[in-house]
Amino acid sequence: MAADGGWTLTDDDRQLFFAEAEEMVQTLEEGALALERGGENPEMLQAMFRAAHTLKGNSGLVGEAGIAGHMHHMEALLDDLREGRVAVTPALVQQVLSGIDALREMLAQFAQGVSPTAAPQAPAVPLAEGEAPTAAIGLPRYVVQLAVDPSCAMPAVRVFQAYQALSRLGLVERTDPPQDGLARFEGRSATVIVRLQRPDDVKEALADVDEIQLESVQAESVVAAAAPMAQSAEAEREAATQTVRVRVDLLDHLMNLVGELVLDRTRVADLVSRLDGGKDEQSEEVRQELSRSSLHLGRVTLDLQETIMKARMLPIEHLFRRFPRLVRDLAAKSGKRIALDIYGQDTELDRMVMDELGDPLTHILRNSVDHGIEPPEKRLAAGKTEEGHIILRASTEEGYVVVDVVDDGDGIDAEAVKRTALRRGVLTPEQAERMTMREAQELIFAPGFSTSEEVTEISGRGVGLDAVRASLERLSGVVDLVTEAGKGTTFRLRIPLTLAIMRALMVRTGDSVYALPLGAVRQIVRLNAQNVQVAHGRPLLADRGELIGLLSLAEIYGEPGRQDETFAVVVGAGERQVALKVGALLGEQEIVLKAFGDFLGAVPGLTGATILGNGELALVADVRYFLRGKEAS
Amino acid sequence: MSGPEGEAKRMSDDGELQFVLFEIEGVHYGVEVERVLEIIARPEISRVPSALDCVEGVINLRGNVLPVMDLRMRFRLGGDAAKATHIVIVQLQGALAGISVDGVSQVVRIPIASIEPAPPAITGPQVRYIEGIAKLEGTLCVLIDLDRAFRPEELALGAAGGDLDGR
Repeated sequence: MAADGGWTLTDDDRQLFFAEAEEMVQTLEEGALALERGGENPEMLQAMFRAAHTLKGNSGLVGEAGIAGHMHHMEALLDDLREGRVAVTPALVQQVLSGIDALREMLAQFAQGVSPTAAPQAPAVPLAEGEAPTAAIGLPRYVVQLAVDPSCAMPAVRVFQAYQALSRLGLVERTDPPQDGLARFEGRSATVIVRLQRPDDVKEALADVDEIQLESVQAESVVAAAAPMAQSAEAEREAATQTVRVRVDLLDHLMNLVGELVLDRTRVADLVSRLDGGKDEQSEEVRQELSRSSLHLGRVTLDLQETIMKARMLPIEHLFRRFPRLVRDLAAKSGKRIALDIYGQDTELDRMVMDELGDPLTHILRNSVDHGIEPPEKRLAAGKTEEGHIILRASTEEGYVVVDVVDDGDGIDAEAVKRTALRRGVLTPEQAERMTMREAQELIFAPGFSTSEEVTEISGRGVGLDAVRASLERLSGVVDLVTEAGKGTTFRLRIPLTLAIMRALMVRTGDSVYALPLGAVRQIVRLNAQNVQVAHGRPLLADRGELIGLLSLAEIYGEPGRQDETFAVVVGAGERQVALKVGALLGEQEIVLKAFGDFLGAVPGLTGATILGNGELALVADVRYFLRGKEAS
Repeated sequence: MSGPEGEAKRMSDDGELQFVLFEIEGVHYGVEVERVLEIIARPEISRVPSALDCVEGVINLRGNVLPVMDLRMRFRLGGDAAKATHIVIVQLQGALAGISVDGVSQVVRIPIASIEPAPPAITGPQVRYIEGIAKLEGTLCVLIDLDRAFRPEELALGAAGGDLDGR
């Protein structure tokens, strides 16, 4: 297809253009409908983006600037979507669909030989009540420069207010400083990229924000149709070659191979140390050379291991991006107004862990919408804002990823929880009597418990938060709860960064080496005549006034050669803890967890095995198994 | 692993099957050759507490943790696994596992016609794990049905002490 003015097109060119255009329209429409059903996925958004992009390029080539311009806007919007910069809302889906309709219209005109050069109308979409104006196809981008008064004491607050004001006006796409990192902002200037109808409104919108001056509002230059576009397609192809998809099992295999390498490295180092150099100058030289190579090999191997681990990680954004739509829909269904704020999207997490985390997080968010946030009237009566807030926040903490779901709702009423638990038979009256408030709140995780008086459509029936706790345990993670009546609830999920690698305390007991996951280790105590006690026939460890159930690791695992047990390792999760008697402490180590495989099935008390530096196997203890026992307190 | 699917259903033209033969407690056993991945010298085996009684333990095979099965327990042969010299690595229900053996003799082709069902004299639950008996140069060779012998249900039976033997 070659054309200067667009009117020297051959019939073949035209046919090809329309055939391709039809395909692109199909892709876009299917995608938009999938978006509406909530079935968006990165591949689909990518396909939509590519369709828009290709059509833009093709239109430029046939000299159809009107369509190219229209596609440029659609492409920009789809880019925002796939990058997660804008949330999928019904209004947005409607806008995409209207854009596709307009495109059809333009293609039809073009087919009839009429050039639809008139700039495409921004489809007028009535916005739902209370909804921020979302990006309309055709709304141009503006760059808004803000200055903070030098005397301003709280620039972060003022800039935040300015962002808010602008987001009431149009769609704020990007900000500098970013909204996430605003808390510590001390600067005096800010930039906002916003899509809006009338740039003149900006000044007025910012008039209410004190100590902020509007420096400038400039339209982001719209890229002209044909020539630069071809170039950008080129650039895109180039970018595409920089990533490849890799199957996770391939990475696992690589990981195993590296493990092998580590063992061989150890053997080489061992051999080098046994080499009797120094007999003559030459052999000493060889020995030293070998020693250096062996060291280098070690470093490279370590690097390789870390790099492969990194390859398994993805930003948690991949998981989080489905939640804005979820919360919006749930809120709409329950007649509540809820704003979801997401932080820490860049936090990286093992792909496998992320897959497992989706369901529990969805469940907690549902719970927060359904049981946490109150209806608007009730919030107003309690002196809160009409709109409820849920914060979804991810961060990293020493080998763990922490995900918080914070709501400013009604909190969990311990007494109400107790009453429900009694009625459901989860609890006996005596137990209820003795229970602390925290323990009562924890009851919402008990199997067979549901806090809602009646079964609602949102939280559903049958699946309670006990399922959340169970999922988390499968991931070797924990879920904790902090709640304050009337103020809100925070669910805190702690999940290991990766299931494949963990830090562990290595202990020897009997003839075997065991690994205790470090995340569960609370303290180590040397056993003596004073701190081991027996009460009701059960051995207990007395530690700083606390009595902890005491188990023997060798006894649990039926170790034949049991020697003197010198130490107790206190392990715990949440409120429960137990002390384990062990023989010797071998230190802390990073271990690669290997499951026993389906074939051996679950071995009670063990999560798997790990391979030590010398090729020996160590068994990895399943701490949760001990904590479920009656000795745990 | 090169796909054996193309190999005309693991049967050579003249109706033969290929078996890897090994010896446990003086008895010759055979498993189909395409189930065998490799044969390794018996490394140190790590005991796994409270595992099924036919599981001897686990080994480290190039970074993978594999269970090692003890056919002595499975076939109630008696004897001591400690005198095993090799481990035959087989594919079992989509996973890998090892079988402790006293010695590995060879890979043989056995004409299908010469494979007979287990004679009625062999009784007990073990008979279910036998695919057939083949006569080879005067010695008898027990051909094992691995999938049956290590089916999860069967393993559970063994673990529960399943005492059907001798009847």
